[in-house]
Amino acid sequence: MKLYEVKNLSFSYPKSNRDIIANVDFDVEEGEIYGLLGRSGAGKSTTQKILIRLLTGYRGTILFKGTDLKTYNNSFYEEVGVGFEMPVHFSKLTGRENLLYFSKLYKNRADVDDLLSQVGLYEDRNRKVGEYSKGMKVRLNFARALVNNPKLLFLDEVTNGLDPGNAKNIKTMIGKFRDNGGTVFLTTHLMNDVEELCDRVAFLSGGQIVETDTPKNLKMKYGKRTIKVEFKENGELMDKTFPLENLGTNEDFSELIKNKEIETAHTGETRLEEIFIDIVKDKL
Amino acid sequence: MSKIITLISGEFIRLYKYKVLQVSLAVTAIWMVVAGLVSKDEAILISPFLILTDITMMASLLLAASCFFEKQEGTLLSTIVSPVRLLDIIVAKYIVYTIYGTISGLLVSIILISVHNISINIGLVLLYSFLICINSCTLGYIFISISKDFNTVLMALMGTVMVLSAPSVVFYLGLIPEWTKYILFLSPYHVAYLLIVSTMGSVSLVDTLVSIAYLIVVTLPLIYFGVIRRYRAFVLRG
Repeated sequence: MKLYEVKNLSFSYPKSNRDIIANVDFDVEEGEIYGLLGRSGAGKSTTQKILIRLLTGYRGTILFKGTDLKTYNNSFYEEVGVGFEMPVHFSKLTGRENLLYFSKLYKNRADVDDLLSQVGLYEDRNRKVGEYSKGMKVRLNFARALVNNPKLLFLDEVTNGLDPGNAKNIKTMIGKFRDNGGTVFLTTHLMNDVEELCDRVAFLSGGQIVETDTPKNLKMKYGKRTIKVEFKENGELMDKTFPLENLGTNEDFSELIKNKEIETAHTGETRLEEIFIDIVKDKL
Repeated sequence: MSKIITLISGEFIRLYKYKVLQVSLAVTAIWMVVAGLVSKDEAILISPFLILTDITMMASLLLAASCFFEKQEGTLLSTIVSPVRLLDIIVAKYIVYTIYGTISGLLVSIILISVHNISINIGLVLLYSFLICINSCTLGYIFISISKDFNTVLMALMGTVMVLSAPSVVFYLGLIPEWTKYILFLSPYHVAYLLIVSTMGSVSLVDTLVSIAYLIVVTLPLIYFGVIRRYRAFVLRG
């Protein structure tokens, strides 16, 4: 089932005569992690702000669960969680007090202590947020987005500023959220997050979606699968890269395997980051 | 309704946690000391100014400070992506800072009564403080929507109070003719002053009623056009 159906979406800020988003079409399926990628200023945050009803005055149609988004009132947020990139907490209140306060604004409330445990902040729950490190604030932001047991999560640069361990933990939680039927709309510039998390990804450039597909399909479509062979020649370590296509009939490759002392051989594929740069460069 | 109560209690808790409550109580205490130290004649002369300054500043400045604090910390944004209406947030702040200003004005009035035995109608102080606080909160909201930061709000409010109160001061010093008192009714500060003076019984009923009506007539459209229609832009402003 389609959660969002976006048709011909355009938006310009009041004092600008330029559309920051122009005639954008996309769908978000229920139960998927949908990633929106783009450079700074590409329109990612604007798109997210429109989808969460913060920005109005857009042109085009947005259907949420088949109904015009404009017809929803604030009860829309009962099942939506929003994780902002910047800290959104009262610095003189503790982490626990912050989550308790926000949770009281919803009908459906998650167990705040459980959330704090999951994001690794339980031990620091009674410390003022002003004393938290950047990474702790990011994790608290994520917990804030979950205080109402949402069915739809909007996450903006969710792992930005986290150490690898905590980033992995948050990504695991996002994966579990999806596995339990939740839908995630992720805006980020971190390709690792996209590759690890997203079921589908859209590349936004110059206010337009220039490509949408699964990370795997994008790699198939745009990527180059190769094998890199390291070998010794005259006592020196050398390397050569061959395309995986028709490798069996590649004479250079066969020659190398037969005649050289092979040190290592690794298959490789184009990273999503490279594909993104290529596509965006082509469409600019 | 329960969400408004959550917003109100949250606002009061933050006033305490951010030590705004303590500081403003200290300011009220200073007013009370000033009120207690002056002679009875001086007290009669300055008490309307003391009460008025106390309640208007408490209401408008604390509200503006609260809004800018929350904006700076991103919590306003976090609140409007919850099932709370923007109007609920606005109303909650009106309630908190009206209660705050009213209590503050009440405390100064009680000191004036108990120390100097000045006759002040406490019931009317409550009623008029309420009206004046609503007007002051509205000004606070309007100034935050057109100011970049709290310092600008502070300067704008100070400037407005000075500009609006100057004609009244000139009038009471006898520097302008008697008939100009009707023009002074155009100043919300002047009518607020008259209302506070009327709690001590020295203002005609007609002037009092005109002041009440004027304050309401001026404030209501300001609430709609200056607060409700502009607050969202303030919250979303980068």
